[in-house]
Amino acid sequence: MGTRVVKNYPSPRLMETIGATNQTPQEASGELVANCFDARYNGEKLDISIDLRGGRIVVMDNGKGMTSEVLEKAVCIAEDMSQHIERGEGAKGHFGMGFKTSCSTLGYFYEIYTRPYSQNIELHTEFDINEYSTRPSGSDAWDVIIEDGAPSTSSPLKSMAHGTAFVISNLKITGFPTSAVLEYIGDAFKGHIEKGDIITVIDELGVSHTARPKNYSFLKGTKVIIDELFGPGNKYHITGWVAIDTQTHNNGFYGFNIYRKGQLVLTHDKTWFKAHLMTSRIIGEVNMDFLDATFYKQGVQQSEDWNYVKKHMETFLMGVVNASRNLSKMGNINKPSERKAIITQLSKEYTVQNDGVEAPVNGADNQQNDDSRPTSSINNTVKNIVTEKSLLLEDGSEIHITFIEKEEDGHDVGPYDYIFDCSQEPQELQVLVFKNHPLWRKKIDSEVRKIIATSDAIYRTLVAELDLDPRIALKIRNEWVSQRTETL
Amino acid sequence: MDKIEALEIIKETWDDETLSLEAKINIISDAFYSVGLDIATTASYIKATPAEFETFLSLSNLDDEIISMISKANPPKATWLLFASGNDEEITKALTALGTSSKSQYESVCEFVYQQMIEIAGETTEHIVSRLTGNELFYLAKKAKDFNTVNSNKIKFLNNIAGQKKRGKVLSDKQISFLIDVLNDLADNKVIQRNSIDGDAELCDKVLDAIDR
Repeated sequence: MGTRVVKNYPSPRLMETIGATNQTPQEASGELVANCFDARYNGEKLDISIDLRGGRIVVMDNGKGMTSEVLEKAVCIAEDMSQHIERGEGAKGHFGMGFKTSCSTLGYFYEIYTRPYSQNIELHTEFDINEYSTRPSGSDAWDVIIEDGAPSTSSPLKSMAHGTAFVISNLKITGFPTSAVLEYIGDAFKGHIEKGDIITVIDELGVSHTARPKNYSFLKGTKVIIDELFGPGNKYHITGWVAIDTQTHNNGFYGFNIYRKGQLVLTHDKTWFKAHLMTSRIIGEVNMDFLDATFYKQGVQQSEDWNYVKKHMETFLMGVVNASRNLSKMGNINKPSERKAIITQLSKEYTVQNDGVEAPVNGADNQQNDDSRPTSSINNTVKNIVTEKSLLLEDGSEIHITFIEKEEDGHDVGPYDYIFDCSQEPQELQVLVFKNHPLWRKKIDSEVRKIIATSDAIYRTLVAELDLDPRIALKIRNEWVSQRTETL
Repeated sequence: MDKIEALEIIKETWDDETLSLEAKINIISDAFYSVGLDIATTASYIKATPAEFETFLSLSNLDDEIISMISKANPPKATWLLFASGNDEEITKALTALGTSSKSQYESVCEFVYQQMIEIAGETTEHIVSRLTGNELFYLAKKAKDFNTVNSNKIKFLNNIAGQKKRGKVLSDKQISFLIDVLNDLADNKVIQRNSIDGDAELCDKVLDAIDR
């Protein structure tokens, strides 16, 4: 009986594990950039670069660099850096995990070069993830070697007086998504860029691209200013804007970009309204400095604060949601009178700014900008329904076939497809042809088109829906085609 | 919610036979549009055809009230495309008829619903023109020949399709499209005109109404 002390050293394999996150390359790069803002020197504008040349990623800033004491703490896992460095109110690093996680996400080997502003030295340290995995557990397993010496022009920092460079090599990713990173960085650090900090991405060919915040294209008169102070003791303050986009989005790229202390913490968040094609015109940006962020800044914690804010914002946005829905239905976006009425209603409910574009400029909505566009009707989409020759199966059952041509290009579906309905007798096979598909630009007889689409639908139905042997399905299809072509 | 979670929710909901159509539309469209999935992948995952899934999703564009009405009627999925394409009035007419009218004269529920909606929408030129009988087309061909102002190929075409119609063939889109051109030509050349004194006023008016002349 008794007690004993167990030395609980985490396995060095942890270094590899912390890189196994679901961070995207843009999020990982963004995390490294975020750290740069915590190293601003004497209020100077920051010049940050992400250099992708030479099969490595170099993230470099002209901040104040790290002293030996600070670097010693920074290389430790989960060290609370706020205990060791002086930073402003908007400090981004909190948990001492950011750069290790991000570097390990991007590559197997990374180095830090840093020149502290008050000393004429350069410090260097490196991490070899694969080598860590071979280290035995124990008190020495986490040792990090820091070298110091005179600044050298052969270092990534070249002739800079102060600053820090993270160099990641032996990359885990191939084909670094430069444009996606540029767009992400532009949005993520919008506040900093607008205040004069510069973030540049240098692509593999050496071309330099400056990150810029995204330009939104929203309808004129729909930009609602958000300045909401609420909660117990006015605890919550949300500022920003929301507007109605000129087009709907079926790719998820709508909703709110949420910023905390000038850094993007959530993109395209749709928590405050029901996500739907009809509400997919809602775009906006809000600042919520009171939020807690997770260490990798991928999402807000599902806190009591968050739930309180959600309820408030759902109510606040009701008028905007209605406007998005009303503009999206019945082609109202393209009808000046309807559009004006909806926007006027919005201005009665909210404080709005008058910038934006007058009418849709691109996308599916840019068809006609006058009242001549017919309202939604079956005649706009379906010109006719043709009954095709039924399919008689060996068991005596019958599949009724209808053929419909839709006035669409079928870009998500293909030149033709089918819907099989076995919930009724006789079963129904509905063959759909998308008239505006590029394939049909070629001159092809409409009867031939009908037979091709229907015969393919028959074969797929027999195999996929009725589990028939493909050979039997082929035989039945060919018999149908043979009988059908007799009527040509 | 990430894309994998959204796909799971969509599949579970799609397969759940206890849920109403309305609930399925709301849950599935919410998950689909929240994370930006694509139709082909999602359809494949839930074992539906892309057209079937796209048509289902397009129902979610309708007003909540209409979705609720459709859900209560729970029409077969062969009718989804029609409901998703119609306006409130057309949909309401078809749903009401589904509950009360006899469908026996139609070969399928799909055709029945379509006809109900067309009663509100009004027939298109294509519909009316495609229903001209063989005898009517023969008559127009003969009258055009008598006038001697219409291209002989067009007269030949009229005779051809008149014969096909008499044999029970349905005109193709291409034929209908060309027929509309020919009928306009006949109107331009006064072969068919309002208040016709040739004893064919009813047919002339019918054709002129169809081509909006």
